[in-house]
Amino acid sequence: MRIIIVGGGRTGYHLVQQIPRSVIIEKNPDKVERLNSLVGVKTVLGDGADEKVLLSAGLEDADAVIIVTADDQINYKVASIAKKYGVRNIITRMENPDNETRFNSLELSAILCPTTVVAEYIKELIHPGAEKEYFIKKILVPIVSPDTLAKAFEEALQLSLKTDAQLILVGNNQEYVGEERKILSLLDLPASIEIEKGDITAAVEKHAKGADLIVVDPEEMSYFEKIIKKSIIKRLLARFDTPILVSRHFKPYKRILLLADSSNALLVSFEMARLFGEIFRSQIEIMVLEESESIENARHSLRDEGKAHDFKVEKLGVEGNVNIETVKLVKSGDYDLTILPWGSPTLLKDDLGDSIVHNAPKSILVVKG
Amino acid sequence: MELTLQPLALITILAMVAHFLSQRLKAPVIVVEIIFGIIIGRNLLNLISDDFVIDFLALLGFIFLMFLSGLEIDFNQIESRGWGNIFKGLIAFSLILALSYIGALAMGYGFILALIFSTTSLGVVVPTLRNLGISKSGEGQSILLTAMAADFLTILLLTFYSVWLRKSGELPIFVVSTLFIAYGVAYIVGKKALWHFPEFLSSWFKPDQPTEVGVRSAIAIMLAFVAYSRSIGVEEILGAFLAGVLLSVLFRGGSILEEKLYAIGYGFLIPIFFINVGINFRFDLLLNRSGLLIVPPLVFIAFLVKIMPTILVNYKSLSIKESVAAGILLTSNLSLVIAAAEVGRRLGIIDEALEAAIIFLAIFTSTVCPIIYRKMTVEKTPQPM
Repeated sequence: MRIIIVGGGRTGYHLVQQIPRSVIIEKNPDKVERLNSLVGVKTVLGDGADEKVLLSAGLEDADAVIIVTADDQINYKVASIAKKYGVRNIITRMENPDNETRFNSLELSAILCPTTVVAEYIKELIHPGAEKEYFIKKILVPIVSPDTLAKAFEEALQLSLKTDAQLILVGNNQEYVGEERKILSLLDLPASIEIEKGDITAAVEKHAKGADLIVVDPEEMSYFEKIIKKSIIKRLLARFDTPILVSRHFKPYKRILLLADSSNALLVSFEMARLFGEIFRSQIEIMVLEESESIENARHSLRDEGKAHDFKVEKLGVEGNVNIETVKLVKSGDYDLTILPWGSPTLLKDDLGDSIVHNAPKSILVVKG
Repeated sequence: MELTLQPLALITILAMVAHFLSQRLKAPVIVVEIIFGIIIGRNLLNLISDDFVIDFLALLGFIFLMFLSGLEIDFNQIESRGWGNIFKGLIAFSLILALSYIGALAMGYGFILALIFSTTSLGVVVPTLRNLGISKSGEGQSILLTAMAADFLTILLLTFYSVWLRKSGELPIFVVSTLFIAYGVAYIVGKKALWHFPEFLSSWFKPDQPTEVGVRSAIAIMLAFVAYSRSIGVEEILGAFLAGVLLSVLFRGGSILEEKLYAIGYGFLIPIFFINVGINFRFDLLLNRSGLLIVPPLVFIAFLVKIMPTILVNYKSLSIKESVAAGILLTSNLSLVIAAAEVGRRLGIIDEALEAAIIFLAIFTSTVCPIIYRKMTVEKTPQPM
């Protein structure tokens, strides 16, 4: 696994010792000399914000880029270049919390702000509370094929890290698992890979007991395939009541679109929105698909939870046909996550719900009603 | 032919007055419209008869009525009630239809009268249940589903029956099925368009559209189905009804567009249809010997075929009194029964005396049934404020 660290200051110096065989870029010759004294560390002397320097450090083959300079301008520029070259995991330091929106627009794997971290730590010292415990305890990732695992694995991993949930990759073919095994071995996580015989849904069923979330990659299916067979998402929906997260490129859920109807999916949908709202300090925007007292009650309760846990809740005002406006919102890509009730007696059932699940640009959490 | 607009002006003024009068009398507006038609029609004042403009607009009103009936079918409501309740509604309708057929045979008429007995007016049932605040109760839902099944299935059966009669007993399944194929294709195209062109479709439902593209499109879809139905010899009301169902299924409630279409339909064209029904109403035939002989059994059978199945289907969930009340409410029939009578007369299977009796039945049941139902139910249900 090739990891590039940009910035050889105090943070970079300590970080490079934690990640053996990584490459570190630093423009100050004195700091490079100090880094060279460390065993097994490869250094590159140069400006990390220079594309050529990054390429010489092996950017094109990098699995991860970690940017830790104290200058937000440099950090942003390096992250943009890494993004351009399609690096999957980009983690950056952000000095000024006011730059959050700008950094968020890059859709990075993680943005770490020392100022915010310290502030929260102090807040915790002054108002000590119990360690946060989330209701998601077990996340399942079906290994459908080698091509349909990467996104689901990345998203499930991030959620597992945030919630301490047990992460189980379930499949029926050992050879489909590659890089994921290495990543799990590097992280201190309650995770395992289970290979079972038989059909993938049967394999999932063996481990489905107690699962709170199933995370899958959408399958690429030809028109003909769509006619003759059901997608894995449809098969899972037919078999399990567990919410299914259809993964796209993971980005912290800063904006969540909650599609609310009065079906049986209502409570779980709002509970999931509350969970993610709390974890990601999200803005949750509720699209009410049908006027109902139960939705209004759930919305008020979520709004109160938002005040207590620092996330925002808004009701979207709709002019025109609610279903068409929903499609427009989902397709806009403005929401990092859309929560979709499944099997509810609205238009979002059947074909249109299917289009949303299989073609939406961002992740979709399907909650069965 | 000279085009005069005085009759139209008179009818539109009467349509406006009908609204206020119906509120004052607490009677359905359609009843008042038909009575106005009778007053100005051939029976009494004879102010209007055989007017091309009125006949054309009345036909358009008839088509619009069926289109809006299709649009009004709320599939969200039907599906949310579950298959058990839908099945119950279908069983109730089947029993009503079977009894109606026996009743029609007893009166010496065929299947068309059975269909007329089977119809129920959602336009009377829904407001009555809502006014009493029981539309969401078990009893209310059972009545609503039976009424919806009756509404939907009678139109389908009426169309098939009329096609069957026109083609001298041979049911041209292939010809009729092309209309349903057209419906299926339009449905699939519409579903795809919803995902791929939401921006375009969104403009249909926006209030601030100077060109009213939504209304234009809805009317174009409606008339395309009507024209195609006509060209293959199928009753045009099925085309209009299917176009309404198509929009209802595709968009599941686009209130602004619906409101605009209701405005055109109920604000202009549909009152002309009902006033024209009154204009052509043969009051004289109703009062002669054969008319007077038809009315009592007609009213008796109309009540019987609704009350009996309602008691049978709901014997576990409702008391006898509640079932009888529900059956009485379901007896109220108005627009569809008049539509069926119109189709029957055009096909020559209903004579004018029977048509007059059927229109009388519609006026009678839609006025009396909600009042009886309210009286029977009001003891246990608080009146809404």
